[in-house]
Amino acid sequence: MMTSSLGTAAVVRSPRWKANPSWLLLTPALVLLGVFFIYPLCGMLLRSLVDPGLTWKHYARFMSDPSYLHVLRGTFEIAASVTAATIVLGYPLAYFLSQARPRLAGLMMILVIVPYFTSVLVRTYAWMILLGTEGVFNQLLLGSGLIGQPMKLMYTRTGVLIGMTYILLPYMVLALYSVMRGVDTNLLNAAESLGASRVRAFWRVFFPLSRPGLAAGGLLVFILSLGFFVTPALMGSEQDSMISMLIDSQVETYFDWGFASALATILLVCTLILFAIYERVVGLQRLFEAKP
Amino acid sequence: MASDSRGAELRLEGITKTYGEAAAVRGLDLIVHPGEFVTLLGASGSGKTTTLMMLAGFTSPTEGRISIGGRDVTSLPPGKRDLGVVFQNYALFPHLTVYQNLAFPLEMRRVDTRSIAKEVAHALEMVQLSDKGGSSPRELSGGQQQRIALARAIIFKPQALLMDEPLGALDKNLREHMQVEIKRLQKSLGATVVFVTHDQEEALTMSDRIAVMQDGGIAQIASAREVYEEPANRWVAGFIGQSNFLPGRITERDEDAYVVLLDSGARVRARSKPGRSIGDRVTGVLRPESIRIAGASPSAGTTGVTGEVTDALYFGHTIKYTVKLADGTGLIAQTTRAGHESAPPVGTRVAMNWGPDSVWLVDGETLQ
Repeated sequence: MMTSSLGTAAVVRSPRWKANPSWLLLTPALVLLGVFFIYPLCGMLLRSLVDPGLTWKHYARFMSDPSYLHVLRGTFEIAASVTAATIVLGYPLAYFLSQARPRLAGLMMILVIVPYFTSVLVRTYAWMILLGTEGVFNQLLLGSGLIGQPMKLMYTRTGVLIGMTYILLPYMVLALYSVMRGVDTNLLNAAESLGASRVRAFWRVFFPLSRPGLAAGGLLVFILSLGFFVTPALMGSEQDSMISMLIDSQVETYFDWGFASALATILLVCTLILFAIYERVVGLQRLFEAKP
Repeated sequence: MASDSRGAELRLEGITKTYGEAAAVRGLDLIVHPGEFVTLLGASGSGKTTTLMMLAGFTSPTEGRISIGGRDVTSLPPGKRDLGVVFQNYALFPHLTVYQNLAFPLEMRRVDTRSIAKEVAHALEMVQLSDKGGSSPRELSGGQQQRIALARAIIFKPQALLMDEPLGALDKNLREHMQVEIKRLQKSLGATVVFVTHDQEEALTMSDRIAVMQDGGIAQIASAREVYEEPANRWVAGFIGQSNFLPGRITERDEDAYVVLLDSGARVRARSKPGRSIGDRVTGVLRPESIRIAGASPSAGTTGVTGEVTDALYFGHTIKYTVKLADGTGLIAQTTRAGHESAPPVGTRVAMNWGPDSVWLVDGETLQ
């Protein structure tokens, strides 16, 4: 009897936001998100479906032309390759940083981040100079006699991969580093004291515990790659374009906002599907956990 | 487990560890006998953990030699030393189940799956957590994690067990319970244990011998009783338990004791290690609980002094008094419950006495 009357008393209390005004702190962010993200997003969705009545024609056009599907496939391939490359290059670096003394690690972390002080455009142009037919890279290889013909690096997928990997690598390193730093050194000591060699301790203990970092970094780089524009536009070829370039040409050249919106929606949906699969396999929660 | 897992002897000879200019450990010698429980007791920065880490092989000594069971292991990696280590934060692998944690050292030794299952079941039973094999370490309480860490450190029958403040994170009741449990386990296994702690009570209750560490060296290594009742120097006496320090000079000596004229004017009988001579400056160590507070004047036949009560702290099972002597030095006296009825109020003059063997002499201050 006593408990039930207490129960009803609790129910008639004021709503949560009144009782706890800290919810109001979310307002600016919500307004910003609504005005500059949700609203335009709905606009884009609508534009891809209305011309001027409801129509599927933009989506039908995408599905009917294999060259568009080819671009979508290429985009995913490039994103996957870039993700793989950043893992291969970033993991050892992040591991080194996580094991280094805090001062050295801090210093090297700055070196990792410093390129961000320059714009993507500048860094991409720098790669164009390095990788061109007359570029530094080819000159060196030709001069040393390793190759007889200059390699075609610019305006190829290889060039795009090099450029994008370079630009996205720090994201991977940062994501890995933050997780690796949280792995307790005592766990490795424990593994070694229990009879593991250093190599085995790494594979049995450190690597599994660093996986959330791999998952976070991988997702981040992959999604950033999917919509990447500047680097593939400058370093890639028309034949091997990414979906962002296709959207750009629809807007800039053909003024076909409807089809461009449909392409953007398709990219968004693909990304969301990927996100959902990721959530199933890894769990989004692990993405936001500081510790493994 | 079979009694063939009796622990090995651990030997540290001339161990020094320097970090740049600073020495964390200097010239340390320590022999831990097979089956012995030795505690490294010290404040933080005394070198106790560094010493343990060198034994385990996580850091290597700058100088000196470490041997386990007669084998020189100074340059062996931790995995080849065959020592069980229990860490302060337990260091259980969070991505593995309790079962997999316990199986880990056996897998590293290429034990076959069926034997692993048997050993793990046995170990879980030993620490009374048979139903937790499938749990993640995160789902266990602190005390349970501690027990699993302990089980994991002994499941492969190591030559010795090293424990780095293993009970530091537990609350008081659990801590006392685990002290008993660890001690029982150590006895039944006949394991050699090196235990690091900064908790003197823990050291006193658990150890066969205590190595009191100070500034990277061992200030005294002896049984709990000896360290407490016959401290090697003033620092040890002050570090372990509470002490009253009574400076004075030796005036007489009979067969097994000395007579000391205290600076406060009283003449007291004191025990000491042999080799002191008349005229030496000494400091008498007198534990608060040795002091009895008697009536208003010292009763005939016992050693004692008189003074004025300036402070009384009530602890429930005891009362601690501060008594000011004629020359201004304060003595701390701790009475047991039995003495409560006649508890003298602050401001009264009291006489204090103690048994004939209560004062222990250490070297007097050289710098004053």
